[in-house]
Amino acid sequence: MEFATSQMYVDSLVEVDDITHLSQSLEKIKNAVIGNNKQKHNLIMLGVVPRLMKLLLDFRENTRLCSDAVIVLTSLAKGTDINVKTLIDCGVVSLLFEGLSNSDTYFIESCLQCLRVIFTSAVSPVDKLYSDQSLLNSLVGIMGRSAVTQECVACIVAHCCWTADHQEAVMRTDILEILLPLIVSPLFKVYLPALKCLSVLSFRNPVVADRIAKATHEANPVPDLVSRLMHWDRPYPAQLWASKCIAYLHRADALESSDYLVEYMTLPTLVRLCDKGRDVEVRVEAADTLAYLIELDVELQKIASVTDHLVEKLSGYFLLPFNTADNEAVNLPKFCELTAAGELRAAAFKTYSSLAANDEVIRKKVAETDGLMDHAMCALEDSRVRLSACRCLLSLSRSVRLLRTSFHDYPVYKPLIAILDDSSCDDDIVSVVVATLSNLVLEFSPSAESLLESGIVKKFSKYLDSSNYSLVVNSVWGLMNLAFGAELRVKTEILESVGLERISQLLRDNSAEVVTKTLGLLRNVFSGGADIDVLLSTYGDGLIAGVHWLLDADGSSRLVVHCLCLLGNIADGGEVAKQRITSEQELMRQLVDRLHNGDTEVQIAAVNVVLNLLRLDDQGSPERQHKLIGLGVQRVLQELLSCTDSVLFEKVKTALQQFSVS
Amino acid sequence: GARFEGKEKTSNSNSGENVEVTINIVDESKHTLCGRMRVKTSSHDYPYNNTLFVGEIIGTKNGFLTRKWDADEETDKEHWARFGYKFSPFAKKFNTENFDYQQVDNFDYLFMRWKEIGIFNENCERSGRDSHDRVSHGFHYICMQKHDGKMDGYFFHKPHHDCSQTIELKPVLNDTPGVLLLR
Repeated sequence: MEFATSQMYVDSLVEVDDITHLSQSLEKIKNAVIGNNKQKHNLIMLGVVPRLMKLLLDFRENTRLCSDAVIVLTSLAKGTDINVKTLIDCGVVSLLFEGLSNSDTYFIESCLQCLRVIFTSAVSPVDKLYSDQSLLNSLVGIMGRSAVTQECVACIVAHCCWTADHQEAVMRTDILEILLPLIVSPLFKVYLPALKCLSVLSFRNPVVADRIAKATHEANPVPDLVSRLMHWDRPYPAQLWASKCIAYLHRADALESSDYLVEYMTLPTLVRLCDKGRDVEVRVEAADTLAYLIELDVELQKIASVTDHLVEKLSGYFLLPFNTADNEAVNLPKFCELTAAGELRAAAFKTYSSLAANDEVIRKKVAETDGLMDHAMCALEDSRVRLSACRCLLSLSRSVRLLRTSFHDYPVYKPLIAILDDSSCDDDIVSVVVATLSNLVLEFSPSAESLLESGIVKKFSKYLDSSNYSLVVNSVWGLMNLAFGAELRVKTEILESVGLERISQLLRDNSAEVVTKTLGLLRNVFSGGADIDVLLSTYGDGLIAGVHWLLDADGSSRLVVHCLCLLGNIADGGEVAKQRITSEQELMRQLVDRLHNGDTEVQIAAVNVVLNLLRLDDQGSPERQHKLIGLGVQRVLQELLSCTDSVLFEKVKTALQQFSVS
Repeated sequence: GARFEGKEKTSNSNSGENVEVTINIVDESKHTLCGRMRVKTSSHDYPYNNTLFVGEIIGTKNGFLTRKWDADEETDKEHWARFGYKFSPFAKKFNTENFDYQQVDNFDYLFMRWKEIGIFNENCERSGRDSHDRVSHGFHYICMQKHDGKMDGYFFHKPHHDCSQTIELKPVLNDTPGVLLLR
C-alpha cells in the first residue's frame, strides 16, 4: 500500500508543467517523508532524485518551486547514509553548488542546508569539496548573507577540515575575517560552528593559530572573546569548543602555557567538564582535550593534577560496565552503553597518560588510584581501549619506584607480550608496547628476568626491520636497556639475534636518534672488561668498520662523542681488544685527529680512549705506549695541557703521567 | 652509568666502609637521577648492602628546601651549611622569595639529595619487591665538585639525628660507562 503511494508521489512529478500542481506534489512528498525512513527509501528506489534534479534544471527561474524541491532532497538526505550516498552518486552536490550563485537568499539557504546535511554525514564527499577551489570560494563568498548561511557554511567547513592541505585550501578564502565576528553572535547555532571552525583551522597549524591569537574584533583580542564562551552559564558544547580552541592555539605555540587563558580558564574549564553529571560525549571530549592540552607541559600537568580532584574524578570514568555478563543479550541500548563505557575508559587512560608523563609525585598518585592497575590490565586485552591503556602504562613505567612496586604486583608484562604475539595488532600499539617494555627490562625492574625468559630479545630484534620509524627507535632503545649490565649470554643473544649486518645498517641510518641509540646499545654490549675480548673475536670486524665509518662521516659532536665512548669501552677490554684498536691505522689517525681538532667534549672522550689503551697494568702496555708515541699522541696531549677546561686538563695530566712511568 | 667509589663513615667507625655508587639514569630536563649504592658491611649474612636511590639535583627544578622526608628548614640549613665555603654564597638567601636558582645551575658545585627507595639482593641480581624494613628512611645531602667529580655528603634520618654519617666519593677515572635511559 505504502509502495503504491510512493509510486503515485513520483509519478506526480513527471511531465507536468503546471507550477501549482508541482508545488502541491512537492508539499505532499515533503510531508510524507518527514520522519519516515521507509518512505524515503521507497521514493529513492523509485527514482525520485533524478526527477527532482530535472525539476531544478527545468524550472530554475522559479526559485520558490526549486526551494521546495531542495527541501525534499534535504529531507531524503536526513534518512540513512545510503540515502546520502545515492544523492551524491546522482550528482546532487554539483547542482546545489550551482544554486549558490542564485540571487534569492531563501533558495541559497535551502541549498546550503541540504549541503550541510550531506557534508556532515558519515559519507561526506570531502574530496569533492577540495577538488575545486571555486567551491570553497563560493561557500565562503555567500557566508555573510544571513544567520542561516553563516551557520551552514561554518558547519560544513568545521566538519570537513581534516588535514593541513584542507586547512591551507580553506585559508585561501577570506574565511577568517568572516568567522571572527561570528563568535560574538548572540545565536548559539551561529557562534558554536564558528568556534568549531576556528578550532579545526588552528589545529597543529602555527601560522593560522598565530593569526587567530593576534586577531582582534572591535578592539578585543579574539582569544579573550573565545574565553568568554567558557563561562559556566554557557551551554556545555560552547564551553567545550571554546576550551578546545584555546587548547589548540596553545599547542600550536600561539599562546604560552603560562597565559592566563590557558592556565586559569581553559584547564579548569576542561576539568569541570569531566564532572560526573555531564553527558558522556562531553566528558569524553573534555578529557581528550585536557590530555592534549597538558601532554607536553610539566607545569600544566602539575596544575591539572591538583585541580578539582581530577585524578579521583577520572576514576569515575570506569564505573560503567565494560563487558557483558555471560549469556547477556546485546540490544541497542546495551550496545550504546558498552560503546560509551569504552570511550570513557579510553579518555581516562589518555588523560592519566598525559598527567603522569613527567612528574614522579603525579605518577605515584595516578598509580594509587583505586583499581587503576586492574582496569589497565583488563584494557590491554581489549582492542577498543588497549592503545590508550598502554600509553598510560608507558607514562607510569618511567618511575623506578613503580617499576619495583605496582608493575611487580600486577604482571603487566604478560598482556604486553601477548600484544606483541598478536599479529593483528597494528604498528601504533606495538610501538607503544615496545616503548613500555623498554622500561620494564631495566636491570632494577623485577619483570626483567621474566621478559628475558619470554624471548624479549628476539621480539625486539624483529621490529628493527619495521618501516615504522618509531617502532625501530623503541626497539633499539629496548635492546640498549636490556644490554646494560647484562651477562655475556644475554649480550651474545642480542648480537646473534640482531646480526652484524643489521647493526651496520643501523649505524648508517639517516636518523641521528637511531644511530645514537645503536651506539648506546653497542656501548652496553661491549662493556665489562672480560666480555669484550670474547665478543670482539666474533663481531670485531663489523664493529670496527662501523665505528671507522661513523668517525669519517663527519657527523655532529654528539655522535662523535658516542662513537669515541664506544671505542673507549672496547679499549677497556683485554689485550685482544687493545691490540685490535691500535692495529687499525686509519682508526688511530681519526683518534689523534679528534684529540687535536674536536670540541672539548670530543677531546675528553678521545683522551678516555687513550687512557684505557695506556693502562700500565695491562699486558702489552709498553708496546702500545711506543705505538701511541709514534702516532704523535704524547705530543698532542702535551699541547692540550694549555686547555682551559678542568675536566679535560685532569684527564690529559693523568694520561701523560702514564707515559712518564713507562 | 658513571661510577664513583669511596668511603662511608659513621661516628662509630673511623676508617669507614667501602662504597660504590653507580649513577644509572640522569634526566637533565627534570634534574633528577637514579642510581645504585653498594656498601660493604661487617655482617657475614649480608656482606653488601645494595640499594637503589633516586636523586634530585638542586637548581631551578628542585630547591634547597626539602619539604619532605622529615626534614624541616632548620635541618636543611644545618646540613647544607656543613659544605662550608661551597654553600656559603647561598647560605643567607636561599630561603627568600626571589632567590634565583639559575645561579645554582651555573655554579661550580652541584648539590643533590639522594633517597633510598629499594634494595638489591647481595648478588646484585634483579630482586623482587622491596623489603621495606631494610630500606633506609633517611636521605643524603650531597655536594659534587663539577671540575673533578669528587663528592661528599651527609646522611640525615630524623630518629638518628645525633649519629653522624658521612660519605666521600671520587669518580672512577677512565671508566667506560654504559647507557641507560627511561623511554
